[in-house]
Parts: sequence; structure tokens; C-alpha cells
Amino acid sequence: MPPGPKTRITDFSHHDVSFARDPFNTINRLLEEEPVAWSTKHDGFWVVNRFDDVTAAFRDYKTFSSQKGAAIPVLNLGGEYHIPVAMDPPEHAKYRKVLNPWFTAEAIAQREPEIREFIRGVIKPLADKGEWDFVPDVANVVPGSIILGIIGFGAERRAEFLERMELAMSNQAATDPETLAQIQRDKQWIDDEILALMRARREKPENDLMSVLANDPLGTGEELSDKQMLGMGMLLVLAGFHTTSAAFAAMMVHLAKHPDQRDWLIEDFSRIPAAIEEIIRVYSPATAEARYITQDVELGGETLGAGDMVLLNIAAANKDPRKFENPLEVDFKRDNRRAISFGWGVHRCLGQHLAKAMLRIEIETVLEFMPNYIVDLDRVKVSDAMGIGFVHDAVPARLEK
Amino acid sequence: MKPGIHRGLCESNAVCVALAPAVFDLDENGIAVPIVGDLDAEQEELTRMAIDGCPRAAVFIEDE
Repeated sequence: MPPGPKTRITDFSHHDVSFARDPFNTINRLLEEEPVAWSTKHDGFWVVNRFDDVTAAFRDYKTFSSQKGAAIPVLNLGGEYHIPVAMDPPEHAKYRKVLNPWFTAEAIAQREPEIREFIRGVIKPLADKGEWDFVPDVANVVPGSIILGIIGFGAERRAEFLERMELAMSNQAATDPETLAQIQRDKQWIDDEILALMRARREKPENDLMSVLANDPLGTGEELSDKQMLGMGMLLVLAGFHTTSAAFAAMMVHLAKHPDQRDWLIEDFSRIPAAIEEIIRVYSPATAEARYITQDVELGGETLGAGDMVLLNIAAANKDPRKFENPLEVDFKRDNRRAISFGWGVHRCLGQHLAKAMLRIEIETVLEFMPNYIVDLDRVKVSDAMGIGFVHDAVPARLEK
Repeated sequence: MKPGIHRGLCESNAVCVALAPAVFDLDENGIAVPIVGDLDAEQEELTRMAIDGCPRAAVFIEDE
């Protein structure tokens, strides 16, 4: 619905290059001058920025519905059908319960030895070589391989999948027909892979997540339709690849710039989990989530109308000075129990325990095999597309010879 | 009706704290804890949602 006469109007879009190039000042402006505002981009949407407003919206899933997907504009890799992020309770819980047991902290702890071995196999050769780029050589290798292993595709297929996702993920607001056509071809390739694996596991189940999803996962006596399978499969693949990569790269750059904090972690590895929470609070791997307004609602002095889309700005809420003192300061001792880096409410990130385990082991392994790594800060490239998350395109690094 | 959390199961997902902030909070270790002894009707409904939403099935309601 068009905003009222007194509504604050903004030209903010999370997908704009201007946001990617100056995220912290942009967030500060949103928090202080446009806490709830109507953006004229992407056919119009509300952007909600302050911590209390964002968490209140996440909590009220009846008014702030997920039925139109979790992104603005709709995620270009089938976002409107993603299961369970494009669903509300109680439907959401049925599917989430199928996935939950695979991603609890307990389940992930059992996988830890194999994850650690895999990560060593990635990082140690780089230390031996003496020169590498943390983004393509580590950040983009580990999470994708692990999630493909859990689903059942096999870790070795990582590069093929990544190649098909890169264009789409960095062009979420694309309108150019050629780009859209290529994204469509990439999506088709991933869809075909998901359905092929589903059929293979219906034929002969194995010990992987796809074997559960392919064979009556809800216990209703019915198999998932192809569309449902793609909704779950695509979401798992996408979520598994990108956010953890972004967090790892941000950590490597931060530690390169702050040797005192690096030393503090090297002194005691048990400090790493809290450091991860702090890095993902400041360098949000997931920028924001979208909701659809089902009934008129007041928020931050504005009236959001039924039928409107709203962007809940996680990156901003996590840097709201009303909630976090000196919000831009990276303080590894900060109490981050209330940070919403993984979202908030029923949709809170399914893979958070896996992500935290991978990041912790990656960082431990780096600090073990290459504790004095040097990042070539002049050649570090921050992405121009941050609508999905705070992404580095390049983090070249080396060891002193 | 009393809300409860199985402390051995809780993994700090905080779904209950998000859905029923008047019923649950996080302790200093990030583990969910009930902050009311007796649930009124509205709190009971929210707690039942938290039971459904908890990834570890760590939330429960005790009949006295």
C-alpha cells in the first residue's frame, strides 16, 4: 500500500552498490533517520531497522508472514517455493521437524571429526604452498562441500554447484534479459540434479538427508511432489554455500587488521566461538529477511498495510546502539546472546550449529597451520552486492617466506 | 500450568524466547529458562507454539 503523507520515504535498497560500498554509514542513517521507512525500490517495500521493531516483527509471524518468500525481490533461485522458509506455522513446523534432527548441535558434534579432517585437507596444503586466497581456496570450498555431503550429492561436486549459483546470488536484483536467461539455465541445472538424486534415493536409499526427504519424510504415506522437493533441496544447497563463506572471509580480514585480537584467540581457542558471534553481528552474513503483511499493523510510528512487503534489516538491528553499546566496535568479549545474526523466531537458522562448527574448526585450523598469515589488504575486494550478506570477493594471503 | 525447559536438550536456539518473551529468557550461558511460575491463557498458547517450534523439543508444560 502506498505510504501515508507523513511517511518517511527512502531510496534505500539492500541490493544497491551504494549500500555495499558504504554499509556502515548507510545502516547508521537508516537507524537514526529512517527507522521504519517506505523504499521506492523493487516495486515499493517497507524497511524496518531498529532492533526492537525487527524482533517484534519476527516474533509476530501471523502479521509478518513468510508466504511470499524471505527475500525482496523474491530470491531468483525459486525463493517463493523454498521450504520451510516460505511457510508459516503450523505448516512450517511439519517440514522443519524433518530437517531439525540433522542440524542440532548434537548431530553436528558427531560429524565434527570428519569436518575437521576435511578442513585440514583444505588448509594444510595452502600453508605448505605459502600463498592463497581465503575466498576461493577456503571460504568457498568448505561449507559447500560439507552440505553437499550431508544431503548426499558428495562433497566432490562442490565446484559444479558453486558455478551455477554465483551469477544468481550476486545478481538478485538483475533485470537484464541475458543475465536472467543464464540464471534460469543455472537454476534448471540445479533443479535437475536435485530431482535426479531424489529418484536415485527412492530407488535405493542411503544414509543421507536426501534418502529421508525422498521417502515419505512427513510420515503421511505420501512422497513429496517434485515442486516440494525442489523447494527444500534448493534452500538447503543455497543456505549451505554462502553465509558461512562470508563469515569466514570477514573473520580472516578482521584478524589480519587486528593482530592483538588474533593473538588473543591463539592464546586460547575456547575464545573462538564468542569471536564468531561478534564477527557475524558486525559483518552480517545474512543482511535481511522479507515478510508479507497480512493485516494493517503499527510499527515505529508508521502503519504498514495488509499486502505490503517488508524488509527486516538484520544487519541494521544488530548494530542498533539502543541494544549494542559502541555497535561498530568488534569486541570478542561482548554478550551476543540477543544478537539476531541467525534471524529470530520460528525461522531462526536451521544450519546455525553446523555453520558455527565449520567456522570454529576453520579458524582453529588456520591459527594452527598458518597463525602468522599475512593478508594483502590492498588487494582485498569487498563485493558490490551485499543484498544477501557481507561478502568478500577476494582475500589474498601468504606466509612470510 | 507451569512452563519448563529440559536443560539437557536446550541448544540456545531461543525460539521460545522469541515467541513467548514473557515466559522464557536466556540465562548467562544462553540456555532458555522459564521466568514465570504459572501460565495465563495467552501465555499458555504462546508456550504451546514454542513447544511446536523448538528444534530440540526441549519446551514443555507441566500440569500441577
